[in-house]
Amino acid sequence: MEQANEKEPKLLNGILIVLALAAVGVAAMTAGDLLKAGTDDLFLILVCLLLAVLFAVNPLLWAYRNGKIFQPLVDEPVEAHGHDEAHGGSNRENLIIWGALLALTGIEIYLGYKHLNAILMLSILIGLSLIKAGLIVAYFMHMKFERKTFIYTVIPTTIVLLCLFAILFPDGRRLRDNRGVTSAMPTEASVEK
Amino acid sequence: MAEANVVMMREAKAPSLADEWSGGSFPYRIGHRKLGMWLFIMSDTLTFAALLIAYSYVRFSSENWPKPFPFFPSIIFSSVMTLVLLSSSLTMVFAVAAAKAGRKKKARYWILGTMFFGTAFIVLHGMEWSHLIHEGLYLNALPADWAEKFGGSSILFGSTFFGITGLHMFHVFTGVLYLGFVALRIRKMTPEDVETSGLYWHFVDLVWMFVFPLIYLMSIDFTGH
Repeated sequence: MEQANEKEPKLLNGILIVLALAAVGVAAMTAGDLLKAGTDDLFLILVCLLLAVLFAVNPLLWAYRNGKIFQPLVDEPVEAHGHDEAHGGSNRENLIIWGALLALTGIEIYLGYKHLNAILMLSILIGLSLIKAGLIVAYFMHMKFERKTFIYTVIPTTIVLLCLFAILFPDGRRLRDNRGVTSAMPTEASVEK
Repeated sequence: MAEANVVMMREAKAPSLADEWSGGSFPYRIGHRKLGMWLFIMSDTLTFAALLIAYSYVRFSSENWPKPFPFFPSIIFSSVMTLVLLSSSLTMVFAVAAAKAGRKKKARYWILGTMFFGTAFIVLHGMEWSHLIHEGLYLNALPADWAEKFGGSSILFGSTFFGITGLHMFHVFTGVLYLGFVALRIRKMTPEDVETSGLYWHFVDLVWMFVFPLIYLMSIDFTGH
């Protein structure tokens, strides 16, 4: 009887995994000729992937509960004397981080005086600034030493919300293109002259 | 505090999700003030992001944009301001470390150092501002020679510049006040309270790490000296 109890979930979860893989396969086949595909195919792919997720949820949860897969949300157990010891970096580590931040700033200022293409320059500056922000959040703001639960609550939320702002940029391009068209026509400034 | 200890001991024995989230425990293992500060920082991140994105949007959609900052005084000043803010973050880290080690007097001195750097930042930025205003930059107007030099520029340069750096300077100002309050009442502050004020200060520093390249370094005047 006990053996049957062990075998049954394994068998059922196996079937579900096969179904999920089949749904992913159909999605992949549809995506194969995505170049000529339209919105309908996109819809089909999304539905297939949704089905795959639905099939896969149960086996994944089962594996998670039985500790068969990596559990990102569970920290290592805290040591008995754990909580009031000084978490976080030593003064030496903080000094190194400070030096790294200064060095990155120096690189940014140096790049400012290289006559780079604006887009390239902007990408490098934003990249360096993101690295600096990461260092500040991780070490100075002690994010690296918090619980994983907390990190997963704060960081992805903020990043997703920041990415949503990017929705505005196509509109900015449209605005500029429209201005480019109208600048051939008399503008207020040229009329005043 | 003793209660929290007991809870943590129990959690240490059985680290399972169901226990963590069923109430009566501290799932994040941080106090409510610190959690509140983090939530505020998240929302403030979005405020500054909205301003910087609005600036990028206007600049991106304009025909031309002024690049008015010469090496002296603007770039030198803003670089020194960056150095000052980064150093103030370092002193704040030392203050938090001292508070956690239970040495409150030392923590107070480090906080006073941080306040000194913050004030220096405000003074330097004020000089930079008055220089630009003296040149004729206003919220809704460019200086006459700029309008000629950078033809077709949007007059929104002044609003974006003063808006973003002004809000940032206001944050530095409130940060100095906040730190002053913490330094004044350091005896009643727990180490986590000091850390919470440190979080705010580091966030202000972090924002400047984006303002400095986007506002200053993207607008360097090469034609000058």
